[in-house]
Amino acid sequence: MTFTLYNYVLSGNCYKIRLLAALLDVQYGTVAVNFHPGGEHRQEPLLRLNPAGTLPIMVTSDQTLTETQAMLVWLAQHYDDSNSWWPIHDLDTLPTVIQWLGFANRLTSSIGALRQHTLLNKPADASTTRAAGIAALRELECRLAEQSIRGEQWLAGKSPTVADIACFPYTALSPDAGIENDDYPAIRSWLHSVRSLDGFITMPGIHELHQMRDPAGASAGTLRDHHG
Amino acid sequence: MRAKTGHEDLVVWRSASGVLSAWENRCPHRGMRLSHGFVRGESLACAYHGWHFECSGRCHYIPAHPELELPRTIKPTTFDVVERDGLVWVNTTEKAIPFSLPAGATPLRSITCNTTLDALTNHIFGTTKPCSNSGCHSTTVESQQPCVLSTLLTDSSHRVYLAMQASEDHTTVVHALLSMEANETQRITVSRWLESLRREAESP
Amino acid sequence: MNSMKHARQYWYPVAMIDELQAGQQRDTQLLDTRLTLTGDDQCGLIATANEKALLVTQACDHWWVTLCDTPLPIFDLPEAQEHERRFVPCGVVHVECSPLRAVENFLDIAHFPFVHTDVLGAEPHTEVYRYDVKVDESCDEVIASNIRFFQPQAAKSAEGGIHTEYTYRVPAPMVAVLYKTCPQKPDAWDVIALFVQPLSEDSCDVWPWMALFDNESTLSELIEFQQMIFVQDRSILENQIPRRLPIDPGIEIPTKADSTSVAYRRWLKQRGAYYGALAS
Repeated sequence: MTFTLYNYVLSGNCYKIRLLAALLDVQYGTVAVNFHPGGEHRQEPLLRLNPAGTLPIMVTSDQTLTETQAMLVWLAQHYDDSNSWWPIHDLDTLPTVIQWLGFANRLTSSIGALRQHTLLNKPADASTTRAAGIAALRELECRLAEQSIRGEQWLAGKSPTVADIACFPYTALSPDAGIENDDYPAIRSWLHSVRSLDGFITMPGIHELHQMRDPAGASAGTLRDHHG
Repeated sequence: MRAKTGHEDLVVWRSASGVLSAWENRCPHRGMRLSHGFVRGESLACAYHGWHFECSGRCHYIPAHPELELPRTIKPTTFDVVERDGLVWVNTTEKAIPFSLPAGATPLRSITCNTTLDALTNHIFGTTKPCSNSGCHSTTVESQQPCVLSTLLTDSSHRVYLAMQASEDHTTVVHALLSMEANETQRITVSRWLESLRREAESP
Repeated sequence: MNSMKHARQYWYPVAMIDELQAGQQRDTQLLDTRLTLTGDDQCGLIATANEKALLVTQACDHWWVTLCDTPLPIFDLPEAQEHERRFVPCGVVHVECSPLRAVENFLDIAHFPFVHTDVLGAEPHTEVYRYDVKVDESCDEVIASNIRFFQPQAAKSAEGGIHTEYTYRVPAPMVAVLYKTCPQKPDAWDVIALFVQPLSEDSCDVWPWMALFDNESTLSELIEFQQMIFVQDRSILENQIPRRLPIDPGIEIPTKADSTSVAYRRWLKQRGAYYGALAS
């Protein structure tokens, strides 16, 4: 077994790991955690693995990781032979990747927190998280619009990186939190690019691109998208 | 994608062969917003039950009843739509003709401001130095109603055109275009200027 | 009878049984009315609205309350007494839609290939075959039966695609119960229910509940499966226009596959269940 993921199906952070693992075609084990309504992540024995009481938790053969962005880097380092997802040799791009990995935490604390509130009735300051979420989306939109002016499609460099995966879920899930993404054309185009990646998987709230599916029943991912 | 004009919630989509359509954003079956749907060839399909609508708006395929012959009457309200100067123009009223933009402009980006159209235009018209540190200076501002087009001039003689669309929810979408020959740096400068313009217009 | 008066006769779920410890308090809403829920020393629940204590009862692992002093009896679900089943309350999910839209979506199978892709349905298996719908006069419930649909992964315990058989009953305007083929026990039915707490006419808290035959999956896995399915529906429900359920014909176009929905709307209309509905 490559690693074990302590997973919650509705968590955007857990989905980041599932998504990158799928894109890199990595097999792994999962343990379903009853985050809601059970609150298992804040009880023993999970607190022994992660005293912070957050999900996901990644247990590899020699270490336990509890920060999502670190898990993405671990996955890319171990399973991306091309070194493109974590461009360790591209010193022009790497700082930008780290910049947007940091930014992803702002999406989690704003849109992620608001989404837990609107979806699962968890406590959150709705107006503060909403304002912070909109500010974060505007910043992301500005970046992606400018990348598009430069002829680039991804957050950093010329190909998708862990930064795109880190920022994707809570941006795509913003409607769950009551923040529609219709007003952000560059974001929508980038979401579409991520969803078009070979091996892309969905989570509840992020639908498959049905246009890429052969209605006669062949599996998705082999057909090119006609949209846009 | 979803678009809003004054009173209408619209779905605007382009088929595989390039045909552009603008419809009421509501599936006639169970009311689902069609902007969540997916384009398959020359059809737009609803995300909920996969009803397929052809470019004329007519529903031609219901997956739950693959063999069913469908009456021509199942269709969302459709609107006239044209593409001109890199913008998509939709006519939701009886009259109306699209404006013509001066030739030689290309779309830069669209940005939504949390202000009314009036407040935004007042801000632009009332500001002779839009953003002193951005390298943009407006010299002329022209307007046409109901959609406002402003012509601004950058330092290096590149023109910026703003096509503004008010929405019922008191927001305004600004579609910015820039003269064709503007380079990457100039385009990014104008993008940043738009961000500043929005911040200023939204500040109380 | 006006729509509010009609809606107030029923019982509604407001919490899971073990949710509130003694002294613990939570505010919620029911039919536009603010409620305060408090756990008491006897593992009971006290529900108050405008400082008046409300009638409270237990059913299917949830607390139910009513705003009426002389409510209708709560629905009967015999499977809740079958102790070889595993009872799984799945936790609340909030949805910005009419409570009636949430129920109607639960009664719909034609959306499976598009919304629950590769789990409850997949193209090209999209056809909805003829099934039976009736209003059972003895219990005044909508019943839809003999529904068959191809499902790639019908339940947590299913391996591979099966032709699943469904029966639905709607014992109250905001309660729907589904009986479906049990992958592990072909002679029995799994039960999945949707209990809807109407906060207002266009927002609701939904409490899915299951009574299953499944000895292999963990509780977390069973909850995960149901939450995955329901949250896939949520983005549909929040994007239906109008938010309230159009109860009169004409605003939306049904087909034969929507027979359950048509019967449900008609049944709501006949009994004056207009809360959450849009009447012309």
